[in-house]
Amino acid sequence: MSIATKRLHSIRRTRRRNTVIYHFLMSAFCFAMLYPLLWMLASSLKPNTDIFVSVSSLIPHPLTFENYINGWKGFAGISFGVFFRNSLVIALLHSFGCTLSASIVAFGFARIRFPGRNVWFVSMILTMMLPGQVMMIPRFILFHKLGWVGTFLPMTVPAFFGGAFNIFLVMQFIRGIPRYMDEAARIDGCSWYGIYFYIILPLIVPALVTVMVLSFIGSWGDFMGSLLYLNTPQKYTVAYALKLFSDSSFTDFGATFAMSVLSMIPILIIFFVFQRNLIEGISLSGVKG
Amino acid sequence: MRRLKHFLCREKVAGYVFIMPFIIGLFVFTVMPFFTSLYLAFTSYNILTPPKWVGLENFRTMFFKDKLFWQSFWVTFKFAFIQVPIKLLFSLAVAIVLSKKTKAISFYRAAFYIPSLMGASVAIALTWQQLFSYHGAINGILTALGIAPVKWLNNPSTALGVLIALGVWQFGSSMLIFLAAIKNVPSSYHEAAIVDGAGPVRRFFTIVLPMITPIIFFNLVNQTIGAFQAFNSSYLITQGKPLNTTLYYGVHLYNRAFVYSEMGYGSAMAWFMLLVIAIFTAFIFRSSSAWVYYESEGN
Amino acid sequence: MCKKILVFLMAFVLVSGMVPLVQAGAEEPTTIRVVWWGGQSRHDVTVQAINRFMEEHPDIKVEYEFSDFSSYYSKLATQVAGGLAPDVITIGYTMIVQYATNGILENLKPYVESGALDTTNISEATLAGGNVNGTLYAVPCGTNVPVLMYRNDILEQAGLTMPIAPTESEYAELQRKVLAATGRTNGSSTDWENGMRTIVRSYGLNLYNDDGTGLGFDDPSYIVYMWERYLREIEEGVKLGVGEGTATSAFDSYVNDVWAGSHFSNEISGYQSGSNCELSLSVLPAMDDGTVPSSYTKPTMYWAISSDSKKKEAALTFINWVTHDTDCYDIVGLDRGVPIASDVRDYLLPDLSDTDKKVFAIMNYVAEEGHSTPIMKPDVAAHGEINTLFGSYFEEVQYGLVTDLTAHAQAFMDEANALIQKSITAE
Repeated sequence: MSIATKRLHSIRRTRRRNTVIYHFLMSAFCFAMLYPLLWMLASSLKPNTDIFVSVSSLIPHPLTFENYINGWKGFAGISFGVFFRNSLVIALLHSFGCTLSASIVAFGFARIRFPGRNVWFVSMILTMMLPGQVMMIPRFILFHKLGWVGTFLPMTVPAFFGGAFNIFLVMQFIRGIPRYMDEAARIDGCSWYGIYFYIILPLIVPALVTVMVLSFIGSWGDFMGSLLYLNTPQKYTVAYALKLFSDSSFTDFGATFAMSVLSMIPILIIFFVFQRNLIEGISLSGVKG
Repeated sequence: MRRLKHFLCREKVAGYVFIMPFIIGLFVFTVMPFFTSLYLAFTSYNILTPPKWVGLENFRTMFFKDKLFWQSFWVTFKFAFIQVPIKLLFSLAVAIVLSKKTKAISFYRAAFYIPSLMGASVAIALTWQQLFSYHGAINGILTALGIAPVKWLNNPSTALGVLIALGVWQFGSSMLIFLAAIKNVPSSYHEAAIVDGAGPVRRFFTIVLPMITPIIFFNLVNQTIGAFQAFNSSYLITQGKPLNTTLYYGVHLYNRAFVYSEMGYGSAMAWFMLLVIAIFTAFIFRSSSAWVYYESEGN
Repeated sequence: MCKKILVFLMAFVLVSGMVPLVQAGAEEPTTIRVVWWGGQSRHDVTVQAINRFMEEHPDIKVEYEFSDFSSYYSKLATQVAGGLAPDVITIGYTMIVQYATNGILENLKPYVESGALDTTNISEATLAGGNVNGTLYAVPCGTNVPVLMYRNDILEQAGLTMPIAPTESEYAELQRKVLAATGRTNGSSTDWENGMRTIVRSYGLNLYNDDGTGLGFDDPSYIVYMWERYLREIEEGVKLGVGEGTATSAFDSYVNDVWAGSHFSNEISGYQSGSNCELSLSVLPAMDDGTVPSSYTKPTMYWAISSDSKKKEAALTFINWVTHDTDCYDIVGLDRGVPIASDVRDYLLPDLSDTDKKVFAIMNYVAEEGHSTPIMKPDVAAHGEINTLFGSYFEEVQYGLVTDLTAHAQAFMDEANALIQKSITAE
C-alpha cells in the first residue's frame, strides 16, 4: 500500500470519527433542549397523581389518555375546541395584518428618501422601547370608547398598522438588497409602487414568511390581550384558557399539560410547513445574483 | 386622475403613502395612550376615582422611599446584562454549527427552535417551575450523578439563574435570524476567499461576521429591550421570590399599578423605565456605526 | 403598473379603515353581566345555574365572565375604570371596603326597605356581614368558617385521633407523632391574613382596629410567637422548609407532603376532588392561653350591584334567585359556602353528601355558644398590600437573615401602620 493511500485512509477515518462525535454531541444537546417538552408530554400521559411521583421519568407507566379527555371538556360547558378556534382566528388575522403592513412600511423607510423620514423612523424605534404596561390602561379606555372590548378587534386591528419589530426586521432585509436593482428600475421608468411590487416584494418573501410565522406564534401565545379584552368565555383563547386551568389552588395538572401539548400542535405544524421556506427561501433569494 | 397619479408617484409623497399605515397606527394606538400615561405619571390615580394631580410626588416616592424600586431595577439590570450576551453568543454559535451542510441538519434546527415556539407561556412556566423544584427532574438527575440536590428556585443566589436559563433556552428565534443571515452571505464571496486560500475560521471572521452585523445589531437591540421589559417568567414562576431576588422591574410595576391600583405611580415607573431603555438603545445605536456594515450603503 | 399598485394600496387602506365599523350589535334591554372568580368546578356549576335562571326568567339574559382569583381584581378594576362595570359583581371580604367607599357598589339598603331585595329567612347578623359603615353594600353568597383540614387516614395509620377543637399544644403533639409514624408534615398557614388573624383573635384582638386607622394590636410578641413557632417546627422537621415540598400547588400537597393544613370550610370539596384524598375538618387549633375562641363565621364572598348599572332590577332578580331559589342550590351546592337563607339550608339538609355533612357539622359546632366570637369588621383597604409586606418580612425570617425577631416584627408593624395611614389619606 502506498503512502498516499494510507494517508487517504487515515483522513477518511478521522473524518468519519469527527462526524460520529459531531452527531453524538448534537444529539445529546438536542435531547437536553427537548427534555422539558418531552417531560410535559410524558406528564400529560401519566395519571394525575403520578406526575410528581415518578418525576424525572419520561416513560408514563401506566399510560393514560384520561387527561386529554378531561382537558378537552374545557370548563363551564365550553370545550377546548372553541378556544382553539378563537385563537386561530385571532392569530391568522394578526399575522396577516403584521405581514402586509410591515412589507409596505418597511419599503417606505428603507428605500424612499422623503422629508421627515428620520423623525418617523426614530419614533418607530421609540415605540419598540415602550414598555407594554405604559399602554395598558390608556389603550383599554381607547378600545372601550371604540366599542371594541369583548371582541377580537383590539388584538387584530393594530396589526394592520405596522408593528415596529416587524417593520424593522423587514427593513434590515431590504437594506441588504443592493440599491442598483431599484436604481436600474427607476431609470427604466418604474414608479416606487412598481419597485415595491415587482422588485422588492418578491425578494423579501422569505423575510415576510419569517414575520408571518413569528407574529402568528406571538399572537397564539399571548394571554395578556385575552385577559384584558375578552370577557365572555365563549371568546377565550387557548392561552387564556390554559391560564384559567392552572388556577392557583385547584390545578388539574394532567389536563393542563395535556392541553398545553395540544396548544403546541398548531404552531408546530406552522413551523414544519414553513421552515423550508424560512431557511432555503432566504439563501435562494435574488440578492445572490 | 392623471394629476393624482403623478402626485402620488412623487418621491416625497410616495414615501408618506408607504408609511401611512404606520403613521395612523402611531397616533391612534401609541401617541394618544402615551400622553395619557405621561399625564397619569404626575397624578395619584387608583382607577376607581378620577386622577388627582400630585406633581413630582410619584418620582420622589420612587427614588427615596420605595426600597423595591431600586431592588427591582438592579434585578432587571442583572437579568438583561447576563441573559442577552449569553443568549446572543449561544444562538450565533448554534447558527454557525447549523449552517454547515450535514445530514439531519433540519432535525437539529427544528429541535433547537421548538422551545422558543412556546414563548414564556403558562405551560412552559409550569414545566420550568417543576423541573427546577426541590423534588424536580433536574435534582433527580443531579442525585443520580451523585451531586447534592439544590433548591434552585428558593435559593437567593440561584433563582435568577433559573429564569435566565429559561430565557437562554429559548434562543431559537434569534438563532433562526442569524442562520438566515449566514445563509444569505453570497457563496461567490466564499468561493473568492477559498481561491485566496482562506480557511473556514478566517472566512467566518472576515466575510460572514461583517456581513451579518446588521442582524447582530437587530438581535442585540431587540433582546436588550425585551430583557428590560421582561415580565412573564418572574410573574409566573417565582413571583419575585426569594427575598425579591427575581423581582423584575416590570413585575414590580405591574404590582403597583394593577394589584395595588396605583396607576399614577405605575405610569411614573413606566416612564422611568422608558428613559433607561432609551438611553441604552441610543448607546447601542451610537456605537453601531463603528461595527455595523450595510452592503448597500457601503459602496 | 402604478395604477395596479395604487388600487392595491387603496384597497388596503379601505379594508383597514372599515374594520372599526364592524362592531357588536345593540344590547338587549334586559341583558345583565355577572362576574366571579374561581376554579373549574365553580365555573361549571355557576354556568349551569345561570342557564337554569334564564330558563325560569326568559325576560332576562345573563352574560357571564369569570377568571381565576389572581387576575380577578385587576381585570375588574380595568373594567370599572373603562366605564364597563358588570351589573352583578362578586366581591371578597378583603376588597369590599375599598369598592364600597369608592362608590362603585350600589347602596342596597333602600332595596331591602322596599322589599326589592328579598331578605326573608336571612338572619340580620348574617346580612350585616355585607355592611360597610353601617350600610348594606353586598349580599353574602354563603358562609364559611376557618378550618383545619386533615387526612384522617394518615392519622389512623399512626393510630391517632383529632379532637374537633384542638389546642396548639395538642396539635403540636399530633404533628410530632405523625412525623414519626408517617414522615408527613403540616401545611398550616404562616401568613398574615389567616395565620396571624387566628393568633390575635384568640386574645380578643383583630388584625386592624375598629375604626380602620391602624393595626389592631401594638405588641410585636404575637408576631414573634408565630415566627418562633415556625422556626421550631422547621427544626423539629414537622414542617417542610421553603421549597422542599413535592407539590407545586396547594391541593396536591395532600397527596405526598402534608397531612393537615388551614383553609376555609367551603374549600373542602375542591381539595378533595383535586387531590383524590378523603379530608376531614376540625376547628383551627386554639392558643393554649387564649382568652376567647378565635373561630368565626364569615361570608364566603358577596354578590354586589354596580352603582353604574342601568339594569338594577334585573340584577336584584338574579341576586334574589341565587340567594333563595332551591333550583339554584340543586346545582351549585355548597360551592360558595353554606346558603344564608335558613329555608334553603333546611331544604338541603336531607340529601347532603358525606362531604357536605362534614361542612355542616363544623359550621354548626362553630355557631354554638362559646365556640366562636363575632366576625371582625371587613379588612382595611391596604390589607392586600400589608399581607404581601408581611410575606416579605417573614421571608427574611425563613432565610435566617433576622437576629432580633422583636425588632423585625416592630419594623413590620410600623410599616403596616404607615400603609394604612397612606391609604386613608389617599381616599
